[in-house]
Amino acid sequence: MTEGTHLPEKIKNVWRISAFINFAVLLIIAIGCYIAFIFFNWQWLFWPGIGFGAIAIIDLIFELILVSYRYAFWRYNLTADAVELQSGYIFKKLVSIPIARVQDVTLSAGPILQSQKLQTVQITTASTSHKIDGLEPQTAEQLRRQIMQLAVEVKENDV
Amino acid sequence: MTSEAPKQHLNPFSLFYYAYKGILNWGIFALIALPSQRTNFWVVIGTLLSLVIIVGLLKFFFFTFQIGGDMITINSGIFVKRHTHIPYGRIQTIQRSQWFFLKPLHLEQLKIETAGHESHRPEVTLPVVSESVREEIDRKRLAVKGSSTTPDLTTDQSAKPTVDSSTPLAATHHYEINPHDLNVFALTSFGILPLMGILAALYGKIQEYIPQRLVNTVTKEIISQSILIISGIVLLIVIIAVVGSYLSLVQKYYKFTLTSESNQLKTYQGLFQRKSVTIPINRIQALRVKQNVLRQWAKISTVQALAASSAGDDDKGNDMMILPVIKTHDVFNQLKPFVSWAPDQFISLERLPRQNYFYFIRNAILWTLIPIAGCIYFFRLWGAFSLLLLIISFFLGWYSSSNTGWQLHGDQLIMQSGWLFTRTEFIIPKKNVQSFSLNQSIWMSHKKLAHLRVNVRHGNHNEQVEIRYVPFKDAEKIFNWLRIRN
Repeated sequence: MTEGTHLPEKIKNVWRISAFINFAVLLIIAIGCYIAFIFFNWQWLFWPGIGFGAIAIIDLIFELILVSYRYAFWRYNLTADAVELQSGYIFKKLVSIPIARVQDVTLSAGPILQSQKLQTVQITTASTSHKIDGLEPQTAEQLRRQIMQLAVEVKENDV
Repeated sequence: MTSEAPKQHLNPFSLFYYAYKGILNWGIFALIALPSQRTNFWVVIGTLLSLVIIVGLLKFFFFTFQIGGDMITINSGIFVKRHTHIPYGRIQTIQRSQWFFLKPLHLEQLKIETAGHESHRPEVTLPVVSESVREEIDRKRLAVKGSSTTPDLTTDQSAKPTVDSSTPLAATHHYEINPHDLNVFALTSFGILPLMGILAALYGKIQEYIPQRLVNTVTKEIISQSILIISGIVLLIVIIAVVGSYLSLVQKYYKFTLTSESNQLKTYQGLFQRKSVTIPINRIQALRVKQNVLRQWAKISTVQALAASSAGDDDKGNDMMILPVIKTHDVFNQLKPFVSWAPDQFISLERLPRQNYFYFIRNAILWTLIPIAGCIYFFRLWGAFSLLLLIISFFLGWYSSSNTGWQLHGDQLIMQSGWLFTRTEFIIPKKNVQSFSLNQSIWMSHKKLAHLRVNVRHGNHNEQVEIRYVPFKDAEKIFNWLRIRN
């Protein structure tokens, strides 16, 4: 259960940036509550404001701590017949997606991923969908081509 | 091509259907408008009725369908014209339902479903049409099937070795539900439990409306007999619930029949509303044999098909009933003629070792500690009665663990699990497993245990089948077996 490739190091930056963005969003809500509390004297907003602020800070701390943990145990592996994704240590999970079942592979990148020159890979079967958080574009493209090629071969030979 | 076919309207009786739908949809506005002082009762009702009638007439007028040589065309829309074309080869399922009062008029509702699983409705409904329409569609469909060898049923499920299922074209099999078994089935339903809850809630509500004075005088007199009264009410609620759930099940599966013809399974059921569903056999992703603990004792089972289509019970999430009730020992004898890949008999399963029962019982007990803590906190000493829940949760855990099982059989994976005193066995051909996973917490890895999860397509969504706390080497064996492409 230990073979496989790590995600690129840069994915840590992506996770950190998105942690800060989450933090910022929650903080803006908290500040909004606070402003409304001060200026319009809406008493009931006091505790929700504090709540959002607290969640923002706790969420940020946890996500930052978890970045290295996630990175250390997240691996992917492309075998002849399957894509395998492994994650976690305390709650270990090994998912296998037979390539014969793959319906489509989608590569995409939002602004954060673009800034790090990474792409997410989304693998879809007839009923489930699996995501690799970020890969170098050439690795992603290569993976996509490999999966699609295998998928086509399998469709032709196997079934 | 299609223009040659004459445009047909629905049967005029569909006006009643539209009126009914319209009142359902807009009646709520009338209800909102009525109580206010400024609105006149008759104005509101008049507006509602005229709206319903006008819109119904317009819909009726603009809704037409054509049964062409190679496709059905449906034209609808008052402002935005919509034309839906469905080639016969693309039709996945045809569902028909017929209320008893429409039977003498030979009218029914048809739902035609295609393979596409886009977000918009994958189906077309013809609310009220003559029975001859379905016959014509069926005829055209068969003609198309006959001419082109494989009508390429699906985009995604072409993974099907169609060797055995296509051969017995002429042989049609027929199964009809056994009335005695249906009685037992209806009597052993757990459906009475929610019904009892509803009745109890209703009783509570009714009590609020009884004038307080009456209640006071009556209660004073009978306070001494209160235990008797309470048990009487409880008994009454139970009886009504049993009778209610019994009748609803019997009318639902009344004269259920299953027929197989040319690679299709067709069910037919119902007392007041006869319903029929047709699905192609190669859309079946997995079989599910289900029985609750009462039915285990009564030795009857239910067989359902997980089909990659949204046909089936509308309200129960696409569970396509194949054999609603069947003697347990007879399940596979009856099933085999319909689903050729089904096993010949119950396969004996690998079971959990006794020491693994502990985890199920522990988890069940941990979950019940939450309501128990709540009860004790709020009701103090009386809340301690909730400790009785511990006994139930012990048995829940025991039941789950003792009914967990698995086996590899040919190219099929058999997984069984127990949940809330209901045992479910899945028979999944390997080729229908979309993805699978092995899950393990750090504590489980010390104990060498794992959960195995298998994903199968069901309707337009995913069904996850799980067996829990399996010895790691067994879970790994299945995992590795699934890994190998066959």
